[in-house]
Amino acid sequence: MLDVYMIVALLASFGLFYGFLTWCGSVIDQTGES
Amino acid sequence: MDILQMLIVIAILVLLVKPLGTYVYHVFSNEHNRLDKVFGGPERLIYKLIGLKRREGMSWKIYALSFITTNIILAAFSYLILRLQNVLPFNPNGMGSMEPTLTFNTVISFITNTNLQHYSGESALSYFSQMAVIMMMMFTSAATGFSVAIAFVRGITSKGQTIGNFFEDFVKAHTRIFLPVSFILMLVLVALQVPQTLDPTLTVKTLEGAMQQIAIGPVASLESIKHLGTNGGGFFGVNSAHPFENPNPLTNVIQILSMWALPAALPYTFGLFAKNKKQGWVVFTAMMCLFLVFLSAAYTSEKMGNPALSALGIDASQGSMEGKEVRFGIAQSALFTTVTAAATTGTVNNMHDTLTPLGGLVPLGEMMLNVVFGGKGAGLINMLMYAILAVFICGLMVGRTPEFLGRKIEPREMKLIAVAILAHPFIILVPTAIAFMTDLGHGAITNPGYHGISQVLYEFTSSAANNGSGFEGLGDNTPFWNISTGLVMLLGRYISMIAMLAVAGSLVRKQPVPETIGTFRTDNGLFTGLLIGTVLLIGALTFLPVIVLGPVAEYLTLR
Repeated sequence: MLDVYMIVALLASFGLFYGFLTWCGSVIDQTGES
Repeated sequence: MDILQMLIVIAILVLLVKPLGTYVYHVFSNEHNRLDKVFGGPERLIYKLIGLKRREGMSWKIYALSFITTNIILAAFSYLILRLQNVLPFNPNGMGSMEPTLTFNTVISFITNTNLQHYSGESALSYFSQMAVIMMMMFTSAATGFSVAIAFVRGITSKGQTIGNFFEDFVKAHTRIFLPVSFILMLVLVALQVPQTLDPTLTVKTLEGAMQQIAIGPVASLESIKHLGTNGGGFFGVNSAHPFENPNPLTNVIQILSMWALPAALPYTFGLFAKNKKQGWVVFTAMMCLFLVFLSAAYTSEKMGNPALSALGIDASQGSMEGKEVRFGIAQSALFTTVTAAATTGTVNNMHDTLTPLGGLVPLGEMMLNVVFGGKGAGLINMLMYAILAVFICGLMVGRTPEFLGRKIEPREMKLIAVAILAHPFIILVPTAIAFMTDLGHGAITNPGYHGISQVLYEFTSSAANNGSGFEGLGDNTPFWNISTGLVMLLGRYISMIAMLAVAGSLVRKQPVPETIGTFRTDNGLFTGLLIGTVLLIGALTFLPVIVLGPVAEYLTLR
């Protein structure tokens, strides 16, 4: 059972980074070239 | 003599910077060159096997998604091997499967290039795990960091929409740098008496008639990539203090140079990409100035010895030799410690927990700044992050729009840089505070008093900086420490990488601004000073209170 928790924690962490990547993208695209 | 041998190693390093930096530039510039004749064939075969038909450039988002996804797959694969090592081949010593939270920690540790080890390799891993998980991830994590750094450099020095192809960079980092160089290094280490065998642990009779087990294994192959990839850790629990990992002063110098050369050469590579070598030397000089300050502090502190021992009338003329190997002495130990923390390798040739308080502050401080050469690619990315911040601050002071390498620096880039810079102290100080507040955390402290604070602080700082060394008096192989440091290692690795790739993706799309007489130059001595000042002001002041509570307070109690 502990294995399941650890694997879920590992995948959830990487899921968090996908979310962070999306947020970074929204910051970069806020105002379009300059 | 001590100072001379340190100066010789530094001189050799400086001589390596230009040829190595040029070589790395040719590997990743994607221009046809003579290297293609040697490596082109095997690379085309690999591209065919992984289905990479067109090596088109990627946007920063696709590049980041590619490296994160590759890392997830490698982590999952490694988790399974460590849990099943008891039924897999090449297990002559009958190792059992690794405990789940320790597996979680170990997989994250090696995929993030940290190589923090809450176990001893010789008593916890089969040869198959050492090779298929530990060594495999030593290659792939180093190649990932290198690829991201090169992509970031492309982003801030070129014009277009893309920053390279991750899979092409990842393959080239292996085929043209890590595999050939680590193979040569392995042969050199074998010639210098480092073991390389699949034979099981030896059982021998000692002179006193007792039976003793002596662990051996494929040590040399792991040693070469662990340094070259600034991975750290080691085949044995005591890393490069073990005579089979690091038999003599010559292997010690080879190991120092092999972990230091590539991070030191990357600023020169950056200068070549920027088509302004002086730009690269500015970054290198800033890194080297900080390094020399840290090295002087480490050597002086260890050479002066421990006042508490001197007060007992013990001869301290050799310096503080507690936890150090006699065959290396103070100079080779201080240099190794300063380099392993600077390059965020994290392997040790002496026990950092027994360094004098100010000697222990050196690796701690280097990891807190995380820009003194730094690990594979991470140090360069972090230093360039501070360079952009320095330009921004100077722009604010003189009332001009800040520019770096001809690109305007705007609020959106600064927002991401601020997140990346603030994340580092946040993921160190918050978990440290939590550890002090819980029985699970402070139950692991073996040194009461100020040194106990340093132990906990060092563990999380090492995890956040993806270094991997430790004050090993800390009893850290528990679920609390395995999970907490595992999460810190992940955050320390990926937040800054993703944020800085986003900055690169933003800058690569901008129209370069023509240089005018009013342009703030970033390739001279003045900017070198400003860069060092920014690093110290932002990085050092953030951590000053906790440093006073730990190493400084301990130092004052010993006087």
